[in-house]
Amino acid sequence: MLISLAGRQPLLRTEMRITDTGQEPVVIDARRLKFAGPLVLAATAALTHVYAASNAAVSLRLPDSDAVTSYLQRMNVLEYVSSETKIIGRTPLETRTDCSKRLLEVTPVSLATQVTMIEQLRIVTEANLGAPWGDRVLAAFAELVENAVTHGISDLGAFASAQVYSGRTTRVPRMEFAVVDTGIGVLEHLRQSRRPDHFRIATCADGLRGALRRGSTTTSAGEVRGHGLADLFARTGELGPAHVILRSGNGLARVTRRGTAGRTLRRTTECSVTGTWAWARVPFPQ
Amino acid sequence: MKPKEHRTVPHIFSVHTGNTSDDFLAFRARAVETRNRLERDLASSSPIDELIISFAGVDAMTHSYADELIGKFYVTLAAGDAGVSTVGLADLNEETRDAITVCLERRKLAAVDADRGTLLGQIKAIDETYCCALQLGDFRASDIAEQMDISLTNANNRLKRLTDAGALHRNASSPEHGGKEFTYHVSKREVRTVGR
Repeated sequence: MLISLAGRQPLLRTEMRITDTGQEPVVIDARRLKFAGPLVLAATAALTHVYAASNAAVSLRLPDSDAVTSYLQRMNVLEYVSSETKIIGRTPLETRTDCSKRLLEVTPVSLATQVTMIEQLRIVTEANLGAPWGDRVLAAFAELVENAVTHGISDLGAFASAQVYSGRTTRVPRMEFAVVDTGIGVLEHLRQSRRPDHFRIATCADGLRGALRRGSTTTSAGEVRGHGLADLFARTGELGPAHVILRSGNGLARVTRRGTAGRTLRRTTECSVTGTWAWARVPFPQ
Repeated sequence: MKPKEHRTVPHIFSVHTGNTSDDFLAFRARAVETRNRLERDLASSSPIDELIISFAGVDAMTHSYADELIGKFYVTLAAGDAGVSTVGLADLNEETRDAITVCLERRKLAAVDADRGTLLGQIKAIDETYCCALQLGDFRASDIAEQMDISLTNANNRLKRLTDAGALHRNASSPEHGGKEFTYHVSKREVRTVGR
């Protein structure tokens, strides 16, 4: 199997470039990667663990660009790929400066680490968004983490990363956050809720629609849940357009919101992922 | 005649433990720990007439945290299992007040903002009833019905919701004509300095 990570932000595209050769090893080919955002960083770590767990031989081909490779290294991707992963390519000598106010390196997310991770992320949001937006955005991101930790539990773990962009190369100053889990995925989670309205959900894409609906995971016991994603948009709406991509199984949802206006695109993709990937982009206050 | 004032010394529970990680509160698992701490505190301090849950030091919280802590605690309160008569929430700022209000609205519950002497989360009619109760001092459901020009049934329903929210004290008495009668009053506490 060949998973190609090429160009800029390859995992924000609808289809991932996966060539299933039907043979081992699994190669994650990042040689032509030009720009890696939080989703690429967190997902690369997660993918190595998923495939290694199925006893596949996993290789990660590092980017041809020293700068991109350095960035992967600096963001702890190489530290958190599975121990069985064979890393192919040159890793430059690393010099690391304190960027704790601009980024969150790839971090394993679990019940044990979530609080510390949020404290680290708060340094970023406070420094760049100030009050009150820093905490509002942080609260939105925390809800995504909560989803991963509570609904996406697995022995393989979950990973998160964040990055602030000044706007020099991205036009609009903004922050991106991603959390990737390796759990059962949205569809199976909704089915396990035993709510009658969830029995009809047949596809992963439909499952994502369910997940985006307010209160969708409210249980039959009356626990009020499932507002996290809606809250993300409610909290960040005044900042400007917020974007979210959710991927679970072969379902993909792209959501753009500004206040109460926005659109959601859902589809079934050819590629499929284990667990749930969540990525969010919020602009800075103007 | 000036309404009788019932002054109580409230029992204060601080959500913030002094650890800087409590400046921003997230995750249901953490809220469960706080709720368990609250319940242990109530159990070891009972009987408690009035409880103040203070959010001093908390800058913000997620809706999930607020729901797991406050939402579930107020469900227990409404069921009469909390071991406390009245409850108020104190030292809220704009962010924490908003998170709690959202949580209460989703669960169709109410709570008293102890600093402002107002209700959080509940619909307008209940809020108006609470304002009326504040003016009356000691009163019966019939007093509310007369003051607000509503039916006795409606008044009883509203008072039950306020009692379930820990906003009112309710005392039962046995009148001469038999049966049971309830009298209500709001604890008079000093309205604190508004806003953080």
